[in-house]
Parts: sequence; C-alpha cells; structure tokens
Amino acid sequence: MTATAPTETRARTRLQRAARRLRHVPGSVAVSALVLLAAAILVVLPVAPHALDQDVLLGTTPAGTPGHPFGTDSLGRDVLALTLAGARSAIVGPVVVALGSMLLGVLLGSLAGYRGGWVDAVVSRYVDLTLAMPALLLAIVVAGVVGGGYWITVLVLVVLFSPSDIRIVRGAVLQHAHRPYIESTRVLGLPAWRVMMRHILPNVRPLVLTTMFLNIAYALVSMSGLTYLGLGVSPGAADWGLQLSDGRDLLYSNPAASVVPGLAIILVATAVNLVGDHLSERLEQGEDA
Amino acid sequence: MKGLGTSMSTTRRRTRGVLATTLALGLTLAAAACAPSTPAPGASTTPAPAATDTTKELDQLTVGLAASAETLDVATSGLTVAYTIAAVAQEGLVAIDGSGAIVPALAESWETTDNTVFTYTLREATFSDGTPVTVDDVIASINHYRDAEKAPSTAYYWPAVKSVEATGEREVTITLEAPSATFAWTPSAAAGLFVAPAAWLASAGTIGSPTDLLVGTGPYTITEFVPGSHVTAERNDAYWGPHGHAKTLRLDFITDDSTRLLAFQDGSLDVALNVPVDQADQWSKVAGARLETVEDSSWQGLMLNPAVKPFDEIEVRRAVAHAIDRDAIVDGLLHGRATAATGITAPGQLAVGTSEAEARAAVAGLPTTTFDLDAARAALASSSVPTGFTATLAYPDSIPVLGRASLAIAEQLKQIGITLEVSQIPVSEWSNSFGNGEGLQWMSYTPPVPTDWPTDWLLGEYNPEGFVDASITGLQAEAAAATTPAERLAKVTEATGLALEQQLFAPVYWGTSTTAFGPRVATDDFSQYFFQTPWPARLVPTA
Amino acid sequence: MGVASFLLRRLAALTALLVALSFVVFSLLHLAPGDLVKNLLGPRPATPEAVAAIRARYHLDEPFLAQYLHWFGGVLRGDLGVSARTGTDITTVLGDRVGLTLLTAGLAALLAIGLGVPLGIRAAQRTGSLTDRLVTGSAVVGVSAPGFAVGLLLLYVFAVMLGWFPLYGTGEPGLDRLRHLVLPAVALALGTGAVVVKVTRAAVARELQQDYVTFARSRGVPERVVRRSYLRNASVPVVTSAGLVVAGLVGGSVLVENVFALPGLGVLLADSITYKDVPVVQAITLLVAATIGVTTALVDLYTAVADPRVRRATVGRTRTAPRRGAVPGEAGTA
Repeated sequence: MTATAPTETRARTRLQRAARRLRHVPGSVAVSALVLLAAAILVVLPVAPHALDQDVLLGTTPAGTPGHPFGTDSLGRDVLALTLAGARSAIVGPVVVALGSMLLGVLLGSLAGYRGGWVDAVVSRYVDLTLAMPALLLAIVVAGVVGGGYWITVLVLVVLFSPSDIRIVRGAVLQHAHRPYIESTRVLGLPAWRVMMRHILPNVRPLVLTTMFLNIAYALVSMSGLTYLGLGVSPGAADWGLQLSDGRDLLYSNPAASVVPGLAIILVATAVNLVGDHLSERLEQGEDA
Repeated sequence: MKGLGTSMSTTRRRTRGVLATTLALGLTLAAAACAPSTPAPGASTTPAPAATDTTKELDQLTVGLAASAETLDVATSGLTVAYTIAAVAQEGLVAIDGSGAIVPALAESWETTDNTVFTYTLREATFSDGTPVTVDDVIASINHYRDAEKAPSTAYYWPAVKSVEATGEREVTITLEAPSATFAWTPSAAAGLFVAPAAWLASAGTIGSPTDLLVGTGPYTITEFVPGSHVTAERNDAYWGPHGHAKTLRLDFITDDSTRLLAFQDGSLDVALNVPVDQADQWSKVAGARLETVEDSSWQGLMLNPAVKPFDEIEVRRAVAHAIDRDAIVDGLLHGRATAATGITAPGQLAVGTSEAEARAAVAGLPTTTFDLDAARAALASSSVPTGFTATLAYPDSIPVLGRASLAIAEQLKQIGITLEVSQIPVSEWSNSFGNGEGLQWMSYTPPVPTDWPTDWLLGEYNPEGFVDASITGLQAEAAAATTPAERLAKVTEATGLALEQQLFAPVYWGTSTTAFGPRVATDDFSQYFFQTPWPARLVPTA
Repeated sequence: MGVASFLLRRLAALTALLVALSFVVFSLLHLAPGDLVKNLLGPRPATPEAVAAIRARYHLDEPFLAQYLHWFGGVLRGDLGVSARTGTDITTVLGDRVGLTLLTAGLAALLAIGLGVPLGIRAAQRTGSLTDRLVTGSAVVGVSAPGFAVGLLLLYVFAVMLGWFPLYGTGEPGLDRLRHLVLPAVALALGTGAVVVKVTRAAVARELQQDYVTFARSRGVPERVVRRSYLRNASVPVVTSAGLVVAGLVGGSVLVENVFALPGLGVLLADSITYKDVPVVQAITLLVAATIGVTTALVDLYTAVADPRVRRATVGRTRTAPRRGAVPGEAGTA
C-alpha cells in the first residue's frame, strides 16, 4: 500500500467516499434532482423558440391532436412548447422571492430575537402591520403608481412574504439567545454579529432552509395570482401561472392546458423541497460528525 | 402572508386522471340512459322544444346567477344582475315582451300625443306589503327613479321631464320637455321605473339592503337577501298577471363557472345564466339540458382616439383596423357564438320599432374595414410612422376573451411593425379610464334594454372615447330627439357611417349569451330580453 | 405580575398598530387607481349636480388629512360608517360574513394544525424514511397544486360522486352550515398546512439530534418523558407557524369563496378595494389586524411560558424556579 503515490490514493478514496454517499441517496431525492436539472436547463436555454406562435382559427384542441401531443390553448399555441418556454419566468422570480424574503427574515428576525427590547417591539409591529395589510391593495397601488412588471411583482412579494420568515426566525433565535452560554458571550463582550454567526444561526439554519424551500412553492403560486391585477407577467408571455389561469376556462375543452403547467409547478416545487431538505440534513450531519 | 389566494392540494395526478375519465364516462352513460329529449352532444343552439305541463306545480325553482349582488337597488348599482333580480318582484307601468315590444304592466293602457305627452291608465293592483297601488305611489316612484342624485343608473334613461301629474283617479300623465321616440320603453322595469309604495320609498333606510327588501307588484315577493350569497322569493298569489308555477324561487349567486356547471349537472339548478362560451359543449351534454343561445346586442370593439398620437392620423387608425381578423376571433376564440361586427348598434336592436329588413339594410350600408395586412401596411406606409410604433392596450379582467383577442390582434400588428403591449386591469379601473387620454381602448357594452343603443353613448356628446366631432355628435343628438323609430334608425346609421369612415371605432364582434335550462323547466319565447321581463312567471314545468 | 403587564403592553402596542394601519391603508386607497364617483354613477355621462352631490357626501373635495380625520372621528364615536357602495351600515355589511369567515378559518386552522403537527412529528421521528418523504412531499404538493383545480376536485369527489357534503353555499345556521364549510376548510387547510408540517418536522428533528435526548434514553428514562421534553422544546417554532397560519386565514380567501360560493370577507375586501369603498376596507383590515395582533401576542406569551429563559427576558423580572419537565437542551456548538 505504501508503494502507491499518496495523491492517487487520496483522490480514489475521495471518489469512493462520494460514491458511497450517493448510494445512500433515496430514490425520490435522485428523481427530484433530475427534475431540478431539467428545470435549470429550461431556465437557461431557449428550448422552445416558437412557443408563442398563435393559430387563432385552430383555437383550443385537446391532447393527442396531430402535431400537438398535449393539445393547444385558446390562441392555438402548443401547450407543451409553452410549458417548456414558461419555465424561466415561472422559476426565477419565485426563487428570488424566497431568497429575498428569507434574507430579510434572518436579518430582522435575529435582530429582534437577539436584541429584544424596543428593537423587537418595532420589528414585531412592522410584522403585524404587513401581515394585516391587504396584499391586494398594496399590489394595486404599486401597479398603479410604478407600473406593473415582473420584477416589481417580485419586490412586492418579497415584502409580503417577509413577515412570516421574520417571525419564524425571531422565535427560533429567541430560544437560543437566552441560553447561559450565549449570555456569557455577552458578558465576555464578544461582538453580537460574531455570536450570531457562530452560535445562534447554525442552530436556526435547518429551520431557515426548510422554510425557504417551501417559500419557493408558495411564491410559484403567488406570482401567477397577481397577474389578474396587471402585475406579474404580461398577458402574452410564456409562464406556468399564466397558463393555469388561462387554462381554467379550458378545463373541459383541453384539460391538458392546465394539467401540464400545473404538473410542472408541482414537480419543481416538490423537487426543490425534497432535494433541499436532503442536502440540508447532510449539511447538519456533516457538521456534527 | 402566504400567497393571495391560498392554493390547495390533491393527492396524485394519476387519481385525477382516473376521475376525469370516470367523469367523462359517467356523463356519457347518464346522457345515454336518460330521457329521450336529450340533444346530441355538441348540440346546435336551437334545441327541440320540450313538452310542458302548465297545470303542474313545483315546490322550489332554483336559478344560478353568474354574478353576485351586494345590493338589490338597481338605481344605485345599475348592474344587469340587479335588473334580473328586481324583475322578480317589481314592475313598471309597462313591460317588454320577447321581441322587445312594449306590453302592459301596471298600466292597463296608455296613449301618447306626438311622443311628448304620455298618459297611463293604471290597473287595480296591490303591493306585496298589502297596500293598494295608487296614483301617488306611481308619481313618487317616477320622481325617485328619474332623480339623478338618488338613482343615477335609472335616471340615465329619463329624458328631461316637464311634469308628472295625476290626471284622474287612476291616471298619470307625463309631459316631456321635448318629443322622444324611445320614451315609451323608459317606465318599464327593464329600463327606468320600479313602482313602489310612496311611503316605503320615503322611509326606507337603504333600499335593496337585507333589511329593506324590495316592495313591488311582481309575480314573486322577495323574502330574504344575503348579499353575496342568494335571494329567496315566494310566489305572490295576488299578482294580477299569470302566476308563477313554483311556490318558492331561489336565486343563487355562483360566480365560479365550473361550480355552476357542477351544480347544474347534479340537478341543484333548474336554470343557469351566462354559460361561458368555452364550456357550452360540456353544459349541453348534461342529461335533459337545453341551451338557449341568443344574440345579446353587446358590442365589442376598439376605440381609436384621434386626440392621441399617433392615432391622430387616419392612416394609422386604418392600419390598425385592417389588422383585426374578426373571423378568426369569432370562429376561433368564440367558437362561432358571436357575429363579426360591421357596425356599432346591433341589427337586433335597430330592428325594434322598425323591421329586421330595414335594420339589416342599414348595417349593410356602413363602411367596413376588412382584415387585410397588405392594406394595413400600405396605410401605415403613407403615415408619418411607416416603420411602426409602440402602443398599449388594456383589457378588463372581467372579460378574458378580450385579452385573448388583444393578443391575437397584437400578433397581427407585429407583422406590420406595430408593437402592442397588452395588459390586464381590474374592471373598475377600465371603466374609469374612458376619456382619460388613452390612444387605443376596448369598449364592451351590453345594453340591458332594447332602446338603450350603444351609439347613444359612444357617438354622443359625452362619448367615452373623448372625440369631438360636431357632425357626428349632432346627428346623435338628433337621433335622441327623433320622434319615430325610423327617424332614429336613419340618423344613427348616418352618424355611425361617419364615425366608421373616420375609423374612430374598429368594431370586432356582436356577442351572444347562453342560458341553460334543466329537465324540470322550459320556456317558450326565449329572447335576449327574457330576464328583464317578469321571467319567473314565464318558466313552465316540463311534463 | 409579569404576564399582566406584558399583556397590557401588547394591548397598547396593538392600539397604536391599528391607528397606524388605518392611516397606511387610507393613504394606499387614496393612491390607488380608480374613482369612487365614477363607480357609483356608472361609466355613462352624469349631470354635474349628481357628481357634486356625491363628492360632497363622501367629503372627496376636502384635503386628504381632513378626510382621514372624518373617518377616524367616526370610529372614536363608535361609528364605523356606511358602505360607500351600497349605503348599508358597516356592521350589517360585515355581520354575517365575519362569522362565516371566522368559522371557515377556524375549521381550516383546526385541520391544518391538528393534522399538520402530528404528521410533522411523525416525519421527524422517522427522518429519511419513506413516511418522511411522503409527508413532506404531499405537504408541498398541497401548496403548489393549482387552487381552483383542487377545489373542483374536492367538489367533484366529495360532493358530486360521494355526496357526503353539499356542493356550494352556506346552508342553514347550525350543523348544516358546518357541513357546508367542511370542503372549503379542507381546501384552505391543504394550502396552509404545509408550513406547519415542515416547521414541525424541522424543529422536532433538530431536537431529536440533541445530546440530551440520547443521554435521557441511554439513562433509561421512559420514552414518553423524553418525548414530552423534546416536543416541548420544539414547540416554539411550531406554535409560531400555527399563529402564522391563523393570521393568513383570518382575512378570508377569494379563491375558496368563489369556488364554493361563500359570501366571505375575502371577496368583500377585494371588491371593496377595487371599488374604493373606504369604510368597508378599513373595517375589515382593522378586524383582521386586531385578530392578528391578538394571535401574535398569544404566540409570544406561549413562547415565554414554554421557555423560562425567554420568559425572563421578555415578560417580566420575577424570579421563577425552572419548571419541571423542561429539560434544558444545550445546543452548544463549539
């Protein structure tokens, strides 16, 4: 054994270790990873450039029509092509919403939970205010004053999603912030942010990650919910949420027009959660080991 | 807050697929096994008449409305659904029949001199609260519903009135400031009058609220109103006209189309209004269902505002008009349940008081802009923006078909270099935006009354587009003051011709509405005006 | 006493919140596109007198602040005003709808929390197993499936095919009403339950990894005692998420109310916003805010009660002996 070169052994054992780890990956997670890979490809590459081509006279046709495996929508656009093209608009925004909202959640939630006192009071009242604010009103005013648009909608959703993330993080931080060993760091005069990063946040991390992955699912659904106000995607664009709301009228003439994008949303949302939770668990195990 | 409309779950897609197949199978079997009067799937819009039994009595008749009402007061809401509900319990001096002609209601007879002085002889009748109908009640009602502050929606139909007086124990005379060819229809529950007790009108806190239910002389009496949910009514056995065949009537507000279909399928609804164009085939497959599709005189088209660049140039307006493929929209998007519009006021309305032939002739004479991309390109080339431009078009969220039509039009315009940015806005924002300086706007107008012509508003002095053209608005004013229907038709046709020549409007389609009747009831003489007449009394049980 | 002063403080904060919120909402409505006058008169031409009359009745010509104070003054006198759209008294307009929405929300919360928490615990106890994946997966499917399709499916299976529940509407008060609200409550719960499931799972799984659980088990402590302690320690995030579920449900849901034809607060709020019916929007928003304020106060109170260290820091200065059964879980990572 000592005759072989050390780097070769290290590389090989690392590979062996990785392979062993992969064998422990549950089937559902592996499938989900493939789904995410497919979604990523769809987001990055323009896979269906002619998705928006209309054929108004053709109109809605059911699945199995020659040339259209999943039929067409009311404007004669191929459902499959539209779904493939709609991936980017449907996925990118919600991911940003979940990330942005959790960023706010971690920042304000840990501030409120750790500092307590009037900081907590102010943040909590902001949370209560935003939770009670009618989302529709905020959306309409923003759309009316600033104009509609995809990224404005993302911003609005970040604001609307953040209160729940803030509260969840705050609650978790509260639990850890008052443990004796943390209090001792205060006595020792360690900077708060260091304590936060090193001791409190790692405990809160699994909760943060799992909630963030779920938020992607909620955001996927919410983005499409705002189109009817003139926010979100423009009516002619390729987007799963838009396909769903259009497809609602076509439920009997071509159910595939709703089923296909709906299935896409469900698959991506579930895949994100299964893969994400698995990776998050691995992260915790890796640290504890 | 998570999401605007919280989303729900299902277990597995496979299960839904199985259920969908089961549903389709089940319906087919049910349809096959059912009574012989079932029409073939994908039935045409003229169903076979059902055998009726006028001696039969129904316990309860349930009607599914597609709109929801927060108040029963027509005068303040002006919504079609409010008219439909009010017609159950209230009436005017006259009513309209299936063809849109005037027939007696609370007035047994009437006469007019020069369409300026109208004298009505009242019949003996009692209100639902037990008090008899007197001349004072009629006068009070007239004054209430023509008051622009108290009743803005109904006041619209009342021309300037010189006097309203009792000229006999059972006689009322209305004197107008100027002659009007259309006034005869105004004192009806389809337009501008609902006769109610004077005392009630004066003392009612909020007319049409759950605590101040409508009092009238109609075939039914409203006994319960839950805003946003339903209306319950009981048969008025003291009604002077033909009685309804159902002891109680229930109007349910079901705004979701699929839920309404399910309710109709399982027999919860005897009648369902506003069957969506995309679902009509599914509705007609329900066992024992009869669908009635009628032209509802609605006009849908684009308003091209000459006050906004680049629509100030007629070549640009022509170019846009040439890019609208009406036939594709009517056949593809509306499945043939509409007519490509070549004018503004529909022939069906133009014919009221004149004749079908005259109406069709009038419309045939109007200038039309055909779908022709080459002509569009040529028109654009001779304008100041030959390479094209960008414009916006907003459509109301309440009419998704207009959104699809907008996208179809945008696709065509793209080919001649015009980029159309389509956006969706809430319906109140859309109706508030008329005359606000938009270059291109959708207009959709569904007249609730035969004499309420879209041109009255669209070509009038206070038109929603905001155009100023004395020749057109002058002609429209003359039409409003016309003393005979033929004169009105002539003036309106001339005004419309001018407007279309200048391409101030680009007509797209005249719409239809479809009503579904279940196996328990039928009606003879169904028309677009049916639900503005005392319609519950006109529903007859099937044999 | 600590708890009393805590609650009083929160009550004061809630009142301040309601005032601030009413001002924010009023301003937003003012900025929103739309015109109450046009909504009331219809899009067709109206006489200048009619327009003037309406503008006077709703104080639309007065400066913004004066309009707000008009409304606020009314509220201080106990008068929430009348609906601009229908002229009906606000209490009548809200009356039945509040009860209906709260009942539906309550049922949905009961389902979401009553089923979500046990499922989450189960999944955490069997992390990585098929049960775990199924529970998490179904929860996410519940959230991401299209709402209208789910509502329709529930209707078709349980109302049409099986006939267990009525198809639409509210039914007669009493048991009949409960029957009518079951399907809408299920639809709502499926959408909001996921967060309860996932948060519970994450929190309980984290606790299960702690040393104290291993120590206690190896010491032979009975499983139910161990369970009590790790569940108690995990309870704070769970209760927080439960509170959020309630907060999200209390304003009603336009989608569910449409599909099941329920006259609830969601549709009323949405319609009133687009109509610019200020009194109704304000009344509903304040009601929702008050409920949310109370809920978050209760959640924070629980957080303090469940964890004595938190209690000391947030609720009061009184010295309390550590409660029995709360085994401190030291998550101290180096």
